[in-house]
Amino acid sequence: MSQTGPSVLVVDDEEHIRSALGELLDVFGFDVVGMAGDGLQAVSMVERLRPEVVLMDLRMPEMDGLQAARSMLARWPGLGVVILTAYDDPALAQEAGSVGVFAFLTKGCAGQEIRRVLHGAAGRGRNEESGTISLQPVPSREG
Amino acid sequence: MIDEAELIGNPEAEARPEKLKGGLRRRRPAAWVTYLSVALPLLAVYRFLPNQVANSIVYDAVALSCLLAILVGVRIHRPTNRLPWYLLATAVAVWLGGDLVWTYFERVEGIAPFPSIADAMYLSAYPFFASGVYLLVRRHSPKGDRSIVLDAAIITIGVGVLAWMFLMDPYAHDQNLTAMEKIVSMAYPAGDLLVISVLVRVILGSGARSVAFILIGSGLALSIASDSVYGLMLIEGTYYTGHLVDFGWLLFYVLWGTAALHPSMAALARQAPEPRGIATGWRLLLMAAAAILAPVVVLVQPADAYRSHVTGITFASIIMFLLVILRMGGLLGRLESALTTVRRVQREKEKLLDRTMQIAEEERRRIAIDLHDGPVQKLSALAYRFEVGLLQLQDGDQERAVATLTDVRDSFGTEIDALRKVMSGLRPPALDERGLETALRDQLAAFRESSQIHGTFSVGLQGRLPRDVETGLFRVTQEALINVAKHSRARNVRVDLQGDGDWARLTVDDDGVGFDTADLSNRVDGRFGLIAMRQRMEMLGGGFEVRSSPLTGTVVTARFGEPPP
Repeated sequence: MSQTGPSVLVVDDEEHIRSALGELLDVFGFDVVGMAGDGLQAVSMVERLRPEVVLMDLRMPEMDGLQAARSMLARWPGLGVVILTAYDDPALAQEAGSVGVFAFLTKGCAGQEIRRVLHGAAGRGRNEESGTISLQPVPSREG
Repeated sequence: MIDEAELIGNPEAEARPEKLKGGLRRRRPAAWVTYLSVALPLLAVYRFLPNQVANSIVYDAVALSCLLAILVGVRIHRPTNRLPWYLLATAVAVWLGGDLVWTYFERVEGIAPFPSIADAMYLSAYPFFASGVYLLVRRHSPKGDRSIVLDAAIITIGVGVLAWMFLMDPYAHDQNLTAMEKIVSMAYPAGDLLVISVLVRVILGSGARSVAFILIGSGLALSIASDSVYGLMLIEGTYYTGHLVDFGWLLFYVLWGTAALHPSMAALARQAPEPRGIATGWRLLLMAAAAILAPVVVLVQPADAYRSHVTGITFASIIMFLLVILRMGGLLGRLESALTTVRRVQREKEKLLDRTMQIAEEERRRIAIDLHDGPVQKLSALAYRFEVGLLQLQDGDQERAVATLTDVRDSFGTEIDALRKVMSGLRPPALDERGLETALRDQLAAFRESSQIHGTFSVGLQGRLPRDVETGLFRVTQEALINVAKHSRARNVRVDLQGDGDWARLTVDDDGVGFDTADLSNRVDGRFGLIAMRQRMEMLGGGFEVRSSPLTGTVVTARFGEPPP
């Protein structure tokens, strides 16, 4: 499939998840530029690959998702960071929002939801100057 | 083969003698029945005998029968400790000797010397008598139970005051008696006091109240009562041979002879299983009665009559008061010790509860992590791959869609297995569906795989145990195996399960480094694990023990119920 969509870095310590998301995003037409197994590796890959969006898990070894997001957004404020985690926890969503994460998704949400949010997150960087996209945590697939 | 003793001791067995013996010959009546059937008629005719010579002959015959019954009883029933019976036989023999000597003086010589060799014999029998009874029933007083000794002393002193006032003091002040006559006259009630102290210990002691025990206690009481009445009659000069008071002694001989021939005599010296209450209502009542005996007598006596006893009563009261204080001190000490134990157990329970809650929380956390890292991740990945398959279908790429969805379907099977493992970790279905034996076998197999320690399982279990017992034994094994894996450095572990539907014994035995059980307090995890196992079994009404020492391995045993003998 031709890659015309936004470039995405997939970050998750579970190989199954990385692989399934990579496949799904590929079908959706995203440009999956890389995959990382932990937060530290993700920060390094963002620097090198400069993706438009990072789709990232929360609980990971070395550096967790929130720490990595904080580090990334401090250096690249226009980066769209989307958290995709197994924890359906409003407190965590709120904390992610305070860090500047674009959206907070729960694993198991519909693929189309991920697609919509990733497009939105990619648009954030493009419209960074106007600031038209607000952060809205998306707690579940219904959300 | 049917044991004779069983037949004798069992009324139902006695009621069906012919069948048990094959119906060919009648069973011989028990020795004690034969003895009673001869001795009781003798007692019945004693009062109606024509003269005092006949009375003396029957009296001595009954005493002799008692002596013979004791010797025969020891031979038939073979008690573990024969010494007390021989001491009693000696006492009876010496009394009989005294009777014969006295009969000779009275009937042949026509004299009534006092004191005489007969008195020496009567008095010398008391130590044999008292020590025999004491040795016979001392095991009915649990070792170290000082309360019985104190209670016996309090009651004996109370009765002793009365004995002094009515049986001893009159002799002490009798101007017509020589010093030797006074001493001998006062020695009889003193000897009886010695026996009373032993009788009180018999009454207060614990242990089974067997037929022999009751016969011996009743005989003692009758003997003391007769001695006391006899003493009073001597002072008043109203006693004569053949008097009703003789029946007390005669019955004493018959009861003791019967006791010696009864099968339950062999178990008399058996250790009491546990002390009875040390401050039961009737026991306190008995002591109170003994303590107020002397003051009550003083109250009902004319003022000048008790004046001469004031010193004696005062001394006795002081000693009794001190003994009561000592007794109360003992009670308070026991109470304090019991309270300390209760507080310690309470603290231990609180710690255990706290630890249990911690463990439960840790367990929840572990399960949450297991679910997060396992099924949730895998199912999320499968959901996305399933969506990929659907998108491939929508795009008309049927070949790839089929491949993707087939892979998803296979992966679901793997995930269901993983979930099943989580479920088994919580509670193995085999425990409910196939019983403890299968669950333990599975548990040991998993243990072998995860720990690399060689495990063997032996079992002799008939039927199913109650569900909570199965769960308890399963958890004990689980905890014991965790300890083996964590601490023992063992190469081999053996799990053994024996029992049937009513009882079970589980052993987990390893050849590891072991530990000093006294050092357990320094090992919080191990200690709580062991306490939890113990409490789990105790809550089921069972027992738990751990035997270990450095370098000897560890044996954990959990018990429920008792195996049939």
